[in-house]
Amino acid sequence: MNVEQTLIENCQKGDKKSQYLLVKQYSSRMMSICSRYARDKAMAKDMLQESLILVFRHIHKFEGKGSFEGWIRKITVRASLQWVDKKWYRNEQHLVGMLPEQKIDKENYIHHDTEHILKMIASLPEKYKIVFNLFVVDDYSHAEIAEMLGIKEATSRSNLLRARKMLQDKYTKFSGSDNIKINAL
Amino acid sequence: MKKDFFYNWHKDKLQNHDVDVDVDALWAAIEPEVDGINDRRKKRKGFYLFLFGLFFFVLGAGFMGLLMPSLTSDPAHITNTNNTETFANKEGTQIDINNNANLYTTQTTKTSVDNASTNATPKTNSSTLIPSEISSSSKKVSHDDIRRKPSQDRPQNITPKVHLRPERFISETKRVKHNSQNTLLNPTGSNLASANNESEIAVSERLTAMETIPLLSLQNVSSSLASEDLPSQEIELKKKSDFQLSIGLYSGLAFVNRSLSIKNDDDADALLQLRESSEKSLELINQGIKIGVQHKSGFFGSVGFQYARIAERFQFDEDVLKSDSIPNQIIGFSNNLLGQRNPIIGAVPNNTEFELEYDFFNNYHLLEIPLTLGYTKRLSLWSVGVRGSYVQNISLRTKGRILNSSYEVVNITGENDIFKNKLSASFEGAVLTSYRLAPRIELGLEVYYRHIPDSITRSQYVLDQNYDWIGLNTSLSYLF
Repeated sequence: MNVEQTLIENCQKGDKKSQYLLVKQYSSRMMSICSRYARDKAMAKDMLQESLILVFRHIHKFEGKGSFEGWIRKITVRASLQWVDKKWYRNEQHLVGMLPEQKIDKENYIHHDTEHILKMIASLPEKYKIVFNLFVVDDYSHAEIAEMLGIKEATSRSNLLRARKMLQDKYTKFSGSDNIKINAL
Repeated sequence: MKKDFFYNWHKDKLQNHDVDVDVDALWAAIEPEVDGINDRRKKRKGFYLFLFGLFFFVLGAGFMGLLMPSLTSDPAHITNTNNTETFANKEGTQIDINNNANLYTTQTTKTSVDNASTNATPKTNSSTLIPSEISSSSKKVSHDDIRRKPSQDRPQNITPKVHLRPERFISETKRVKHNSQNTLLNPTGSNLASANNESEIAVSERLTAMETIPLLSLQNVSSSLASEDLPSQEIELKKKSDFQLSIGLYSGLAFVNRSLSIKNDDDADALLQLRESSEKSLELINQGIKIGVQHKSGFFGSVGFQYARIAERFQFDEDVLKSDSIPNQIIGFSNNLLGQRNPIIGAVPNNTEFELEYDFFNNYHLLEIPLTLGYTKRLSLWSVGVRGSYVQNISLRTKGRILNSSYEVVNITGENDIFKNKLSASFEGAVLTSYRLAPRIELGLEVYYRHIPDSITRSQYVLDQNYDWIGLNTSLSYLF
């Protein structure tokens, strides 16, 4: 029995020390997830607290099938979505196939660090940001996203394409301005 | 959709990203809530253990009572376990009609004793002192009966004493107690007989007297009393049926425990959280009628018809900020070197804050047929018991509103896609007590636990909704 299993079993029994250790071990990763869905830091903290409470409320249901981190990630994503108003997605126009494919220049991306990428994603309109995060980072399918957000699969696809285009524009624009700055120096 | 470089690059960069958190502050914020969760879980476990223990205690007590029937005492108007009715005679004495004591009340006027053993020498074995048969004109009584009846079967207030007629008879026997055994001595002090109880000694005394006086006649005292002193009393014999029918009305209140769970792969976690946060179980009330039959052994069965209503409160109140933007708007102007003013086109934020507030009472109406088997042990006017019921639902009607995953209010009144119209069977266990208010009226009280194994939602709905509850029922029954 490894350390993680022991920790989980103790948490299931209601051992407070183990519960604290679990918070210590997983809160950073959970905060990262919450930050991607939240509008600001205060909201991310609320999301994190809510997620941890849900983890402790349902931890007795975890039977050791699959990774525990994956299970926590799922709960965090779902809890974060509670804070999102899903009505924005109604009456969405579907643009799948209407947006032109943009050629990707890998050189445009390799300079960006994680914090900058997060800022870029955070600057997207919320409905695009959420679909992008769900599909790209958290590995949900369009069918799953549609169910979670109460939208059609086509809407999910459309929002993802819009998010992608907007991000690509931002990266290109940023790289250009960076170059200008470098040239000016 | 196949993920290309753009998506994979984002995923690699972000999926294992960590953000520093002040763990102590975070723990301090959630600790009270975590304590509450731990306490609730412990309480629930303790409660189930208590119920389990109580059930087995009552079951054990019932079986103990069954094995030791002598612990109970039946008053005159209660049917006793020997399936006979007892009647009070003129002197207030109870006479058990089925009792074999009538052996002793038989009109035995004169009993002749075989005189063969009169000259017997004293012997230590009491059985050899007792004649093998005491014959009378109407009854033959073996000596085994004589020894057994007084202590085991004879009613308390009817003592079949043998009256020794000869006036010359002087009993000079003594009783000596030695090592918890009574030893009978003759006048010369020799050991005549050892007897284990008083009745044996009494018989031995009489027989000792018979040995010394050849012409001896025995007369039953009770028979002589009946014929000489007391007027004869006619006793009506009434054989009771092995079964007793009853009809009763009952009503009760219960505390409901509702559990929502996801059917497949945690897909509906958002909806689960939404419903858990917006709906609260209140109480359950039920009323019903039952017709039962009880065997003399204490086992009973019943069938009935009942209505139950589960009440819940749907409450949702949240401020929602809708953030949106309006594209293609003039967000500013720029002037070029020629002095021309050009509009800058862009998106302007369009945020709307609104409040969602719902407050409804939801009801689930159940019509059911309970089939019950149980056991009760009567203790004077009180009785205690246990029962188990198979409850067949015949109808489920819902009324109210719930939220769906899009924060939309869905009406669940009447036919809908979420809840079933009819449930499968459920099970109920109870510990019960009752009090006989009058010979035919009984007031009952029971604590019961009900479990519905299947969800009340339809198969296509993403959540399972299960119920169990613990309640208190009172009943009033008429016994035929």
